[in-house]
Amino acid sequence: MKLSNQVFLAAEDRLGLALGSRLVGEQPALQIWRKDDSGGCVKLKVDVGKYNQMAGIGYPVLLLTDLDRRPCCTDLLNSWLGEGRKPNLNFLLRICVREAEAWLLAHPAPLARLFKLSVSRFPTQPETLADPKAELLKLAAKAPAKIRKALLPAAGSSATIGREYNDVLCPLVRGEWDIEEASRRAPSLQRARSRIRELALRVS
Amino acid sequence: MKIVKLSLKNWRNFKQLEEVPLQERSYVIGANAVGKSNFLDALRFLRDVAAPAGTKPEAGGLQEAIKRREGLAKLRCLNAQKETEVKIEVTVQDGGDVWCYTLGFKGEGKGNNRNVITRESVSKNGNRLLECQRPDAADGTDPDRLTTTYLENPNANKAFRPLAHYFAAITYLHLVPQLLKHADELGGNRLQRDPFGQGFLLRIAETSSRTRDARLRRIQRALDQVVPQFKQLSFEQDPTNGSPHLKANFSHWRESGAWQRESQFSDGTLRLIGLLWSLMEGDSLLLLEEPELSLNLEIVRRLPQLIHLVLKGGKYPDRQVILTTHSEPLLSDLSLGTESIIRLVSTGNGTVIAPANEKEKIMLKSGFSVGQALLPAVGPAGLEQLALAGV
Ligand SMILES: Nc1ncnc2c1ncn2[C@@H]1O[C@H](COP(=O)(O)OP(=O)(O)OP(=O)(O)O)[C@@H](O)[C@H]1O
Ligand SMILES: [Mg+2]
Repeated sequence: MKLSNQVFLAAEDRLGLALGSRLVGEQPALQIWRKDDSGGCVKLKVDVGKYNQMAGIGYPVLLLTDLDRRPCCTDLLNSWLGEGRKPNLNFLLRICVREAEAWLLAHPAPLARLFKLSVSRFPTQPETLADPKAELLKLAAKAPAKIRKALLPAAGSSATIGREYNDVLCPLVRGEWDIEEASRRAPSLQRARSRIRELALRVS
Repeated sequence: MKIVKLSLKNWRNFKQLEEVPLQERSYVIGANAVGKSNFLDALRFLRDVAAPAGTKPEAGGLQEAIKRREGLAKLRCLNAQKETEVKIEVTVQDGGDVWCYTLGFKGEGKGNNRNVITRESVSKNGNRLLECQRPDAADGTDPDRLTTTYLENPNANKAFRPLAHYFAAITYLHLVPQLLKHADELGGNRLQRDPFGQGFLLRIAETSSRTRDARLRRIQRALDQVVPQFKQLSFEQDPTNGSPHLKANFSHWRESGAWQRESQFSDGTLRLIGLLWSLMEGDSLLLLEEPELSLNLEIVRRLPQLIHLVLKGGKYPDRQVILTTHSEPLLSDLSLGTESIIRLVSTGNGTVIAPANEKEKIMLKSGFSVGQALLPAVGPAGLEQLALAGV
């Protein structure tokens, strides 16, 4: 079986896709042919067997999902794939600890500039945060009004993010956010990079 | 009968489509403005040409069909450069027989620039019908003849009459509930052939009461499953002015239930009734425009199945249905294969068909539905820029 260099990228939301694109973009040998954001993890979980099968036929899949409040990654894998089952080698099911926002916070400089806050106010070990998104929004609450309004849900809303949350953060991920820098403070990002590098080696 | 292949030349945004295969159920997908409705319109055009002549406002014929589309200049593909001919060609399966009908036309290029036929031909099982190979000798001596097709002319279409009848019966439905609900305020103004279902109630009224009751009973059974509290559906003619109405009984209103007329039905209920009725009405080709509109997700998901079951339970289980859709749930049915999808994409040179690529086929093989595999590639990619630009 020939392994394709065309990667299927799936994530929970657009922020996940932006991060995934940067990860794959580090490897010139790989190309993304398709990006799907599923609108939450429920659908990703439903389709996990299909992604696994695709990878088994020689078409690699990078799936990014959030660990959220689960105790550990093994727990999530068991619940998604079935107890003790391992995904296909070319199905990279990578888990952000605890949320994609932690990876973003791991390189705080661009966010600090956007929020007009000092970098020192940002957490140094974002993967240890219980709720990185809440932390990010807490910082955003101190940002200039325009950014604050874009990122935070309207007062009294049960929504978790503001209307332009992804519109503001995704370009940041594509632009100033430095993956090298971020992976120093985000071990799960560092591991994901390694797996993708290995995939690139298998492909070429 | 069913259309198994369609070719288009210079038809609206299609510069060239070669032999697009059509199935018993075909789903036309693609981004907004890519040409899905235009695709259906090519088939509606054949119907308009073949429709019985003279009976205004439903008059048929080539000139009328072009006029209804605001003239040849609007119709002819803007990407067409020198080539001035517009051409439609269909292959029709009729039991064991295969018909092929070709119609080409263009502006005459002189005088009033009349629309004239460049070619019209019919073949049956691969043999050209000598009665219809145009331009023919008579056309040569009298060029005026080239302004009408043999298809629309009962004196000339005898040899392929079944085909003419088949085209004339093609039905298009894009039911707009508001038009039905506000029928009185809107007055009697209705488009020819009633594409938006304004005259839907009249059609019901004109159906024999036995057939009507049978159909309404079947619709009632289907609605019973999907519309909460729905109890009974029936037809009535207003005792004072004779206007036709649907009425339904919903159990939640009063202990004994209360009757409501169509103006009080929900949009989705009306659309479903229109859809189900149309499915049961005849065995001609049925063209449906975005049937998912106004419907709850779970119903949308089951539409292909619902269409199948309604047809299967009726007189014409093999009836051909071609529909346009934007809905992934509608295409999530795993019994749909790539052969039933017509995916349109626009290029600098007009809209073309994009078949499933190798990787999408792998997705299907891995258990994804055609909706999941084939739809996202047609979506828009620029909403983020929109937000950034502060629209
Ligand atoms: N003669 C022509 N030549 C080229 N393009 C044309 C011509 N006539 C119409 N169009 C184009 O066709 C497009 C509309 O196509 P159509 O209505 O079939 O889209 P659609 O796929 O049904 O979209 P929607 O999903 O929005 O209903 C318009 O952008 C229009 O400019
Ligand atoms: Mg349309």
